[in-house]
Amino acid sequence: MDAAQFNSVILPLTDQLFRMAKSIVCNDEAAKDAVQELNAKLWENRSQLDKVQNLTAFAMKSMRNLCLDWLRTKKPNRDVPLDENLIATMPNPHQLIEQKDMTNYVKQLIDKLPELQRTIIHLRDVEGLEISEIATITATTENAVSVNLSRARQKLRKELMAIWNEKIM
Amino acid sequence: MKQIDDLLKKYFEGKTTLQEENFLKSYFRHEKVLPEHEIYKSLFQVFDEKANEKMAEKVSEKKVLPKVKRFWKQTVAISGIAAALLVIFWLKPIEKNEDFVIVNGKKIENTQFAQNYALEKLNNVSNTLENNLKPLGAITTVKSSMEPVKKIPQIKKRLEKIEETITLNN
Repeated sequence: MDAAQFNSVILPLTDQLFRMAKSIVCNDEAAKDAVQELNAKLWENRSQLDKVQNLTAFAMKSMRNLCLDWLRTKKPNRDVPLDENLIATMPNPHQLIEQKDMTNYVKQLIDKLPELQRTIIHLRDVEGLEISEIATITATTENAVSVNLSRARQKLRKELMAIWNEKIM
Repeated sequence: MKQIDDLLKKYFEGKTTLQEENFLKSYFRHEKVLPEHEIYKSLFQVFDEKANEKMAEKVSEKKVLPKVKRFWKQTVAISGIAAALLVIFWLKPIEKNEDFVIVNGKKIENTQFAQNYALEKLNNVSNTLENNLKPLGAITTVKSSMEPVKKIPQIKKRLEKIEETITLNN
């Protein structure tokens, strides 16, 4: 792959890779760094890219691996299960009157999902990818993707219903 | 609105298709949704917000292809120039004559002049040596003329003494 092909195929994925990185590391700066690093790595190994069939899936998978490495080295305990931490950070229902507050709260809920569920929710509900593509990117089976997707959505619904019920009471 | 309820049920079970999910997203983009669905509006709103998120600082080619491309560009340029110079010097050797002599503090690059000058000086040295060696020829003549005289013992003894004295003084 030469520079022109790289610019036309890999660089347009920048925003998608950035969103993917941000959904995993939950940090804008770290996500930007990850995108730069991945692009540099892809460029260095560009001779191998011609053999890759689905470059988007390959880049997304590489980005996830890079971000998981970052989480392991920089923030080893970042991934905390939702249920154990939510109560402490749950806002007062009266503070959630504004829609903006509610959307911020939903973002926090998503960020607190386990990494795999967070990534699957992102790839499906934000990027709109097929289950098979998500399975490739996350290196899991399609069944595992469906199960984790369902669990993640149900957790979100449970938390939303809890805050909603308190809000209207 | 039973359709939305059914779709939401399927959605939370992870069984909706992409098409059905897009339908739900479109529904929740409307200002007004049914009160019982209001609870989920922020969820789909967040998905929309995230989908439109862009990296503030765009990745440029210069940043992506940092050292690698620029290094090769520089290397190729420098190598090209070096190779070109090498070929020029190899194909067209320097014609300028760099032989010279210093005569009386002056740099003389004219080869013919230098050769003539050197020849002239060598002749002078030769003539000087020839003139200076002429007295030595006279000494040889004297020495050979003295041979018959040496047959007289007293004179021979004297001459030997003289030669001895000369040797000691030298």
